Amino acid sequence: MKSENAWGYAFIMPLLLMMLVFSIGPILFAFYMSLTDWKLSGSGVFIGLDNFRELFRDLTVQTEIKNSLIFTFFKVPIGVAISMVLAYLLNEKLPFKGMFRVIYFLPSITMAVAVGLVWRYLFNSQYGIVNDILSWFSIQGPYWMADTKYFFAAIILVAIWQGVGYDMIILLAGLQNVPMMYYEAARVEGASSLQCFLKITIPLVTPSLFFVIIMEFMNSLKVFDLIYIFINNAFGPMEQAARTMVYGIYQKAFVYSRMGYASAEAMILFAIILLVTLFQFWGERKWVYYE
Amino acid sequence: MNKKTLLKIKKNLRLILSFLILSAGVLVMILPFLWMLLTSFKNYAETVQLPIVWFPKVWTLENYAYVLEKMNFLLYYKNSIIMVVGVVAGQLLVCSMAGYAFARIAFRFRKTLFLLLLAVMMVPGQMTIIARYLLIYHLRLSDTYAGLILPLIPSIFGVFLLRQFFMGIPRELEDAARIDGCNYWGIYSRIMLPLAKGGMVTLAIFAFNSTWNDLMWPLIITDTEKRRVLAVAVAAIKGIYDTKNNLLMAASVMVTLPCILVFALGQKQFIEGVASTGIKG
Repeated sequence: MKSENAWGYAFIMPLLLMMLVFSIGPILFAFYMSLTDWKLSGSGVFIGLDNFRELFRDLTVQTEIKNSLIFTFFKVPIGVAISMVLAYLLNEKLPFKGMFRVIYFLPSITMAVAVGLVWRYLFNSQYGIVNDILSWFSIQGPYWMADTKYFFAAIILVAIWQGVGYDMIILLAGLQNVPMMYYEAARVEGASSLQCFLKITIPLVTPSLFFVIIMEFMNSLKVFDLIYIFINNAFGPMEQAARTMVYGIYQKAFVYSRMGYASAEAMILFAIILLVTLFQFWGERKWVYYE
Repeated sequence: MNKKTLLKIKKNLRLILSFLILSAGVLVMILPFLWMLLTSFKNYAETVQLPIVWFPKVWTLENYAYVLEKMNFLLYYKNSIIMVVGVVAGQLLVCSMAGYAFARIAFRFRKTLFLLLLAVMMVPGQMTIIARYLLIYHLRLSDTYAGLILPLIPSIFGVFLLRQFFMGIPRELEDAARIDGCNYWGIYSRIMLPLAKGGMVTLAIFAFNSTWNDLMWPLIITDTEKRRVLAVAVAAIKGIYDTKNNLLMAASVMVTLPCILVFALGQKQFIEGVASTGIKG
């Protein structure tokens, strides 16, 4: 028993030490920093809740919170709905099924920075193919990259495009666990395919769906790479239209060197993520069906 | 017509409809990649020509040569590769050791520590990135490979993944080795690791993918050219190059290709890994 303790701790020691230094330490320190006026050099002075008071009056921060929420509330439902339909369609015996799966998955392994560059070009109002293709159907496309209304919408569309394949794979795995006999039994009773989908497929896939939704909410609230690459090199007003919380945290800490203030905003983000996640676990028993 | 053939026709119609919808979707998914590839072989004039030119008249490799030499991408490739190799090797070692201990060694506070890991995983990395930056800065590790690599090694996801694999290996193998006088290190290195190859490959691909594509950490921790990685280099393309879409697309192809290659090699493991765990590394 004694040797088990020694061996066990020897095996987890590298992980434990690195986690203490790079995760647990910084978590505790981040809480403290949010209560100081920390700059890059030197240490900060403890200023209590001043950062938070300033945050609630800061119009830029309000924009960032609003944008993060808008991003999430469009990206998550639309993305999950499309993934669900794709997974459902792919769960049949179709030709090229494997190829479909790989192609839908491709964007989610592609660097967000490259995805951003390519789509910025596709959305270009003069030389981009999005408006070119729209014009085939006699639709006059908007100035995606130069109109604040469409700029943020374009980023959300790209984020959905990039994410559906990943969720689709998880949901497909969930669908494949649904026993065929349920469908056969329903067919014998004369159920239509729509009824089968709503009454069998959806309830039995809810555990996977729940997991996907939780992950989607967390990742969407934390979006950074796409926002950064789209805002980079865009006109000034576009930055206001698309800046999200993590973008704001990055800018305050590493462009303006206001690390204490940025840490306070990070606390707000953490609180939002925590609340949303807890709310979902609270709601879980109402709609998630475990066999 | 009897009821059976009617049902069959209905089923076939449904399959054809599914196939058509999925094919339309595939077009939307693949078109940006095709456009990126086509543009990377065009000359500048063709990228600003109206009506839009879909295929280059003369396929040129000049854009690639320009990006590699004039825009210094050879150096950024080297930095990205060093960073990725460091993180992958580090994660494989550290996570497999911890994963084995959590799966098979009954040490004190094992459950408590495991719960602690779960709790830490719930905290978003962006929340602690400022404190982590200050730590690396004061250790004088900013703009070094160590600064790029070390903080990304303790992956809790990796521990979970490999613990899952180790728990699936039959205990009898271990007992036999113990009777032959093997200690825990011997069992781990000679029996468990070779048997958990599938898990190691999955973790390696996850780690490769997330490290290669990571923007935020290298963006803040490197401030000179000498340790710049590809993601930062592509994001930093500014000024006169920013409107040269032929160059931008060649750069995009070059940063995307390694990920697609690694994915192609381990496609099956990776997709199964996603399906069973659902979390990106």
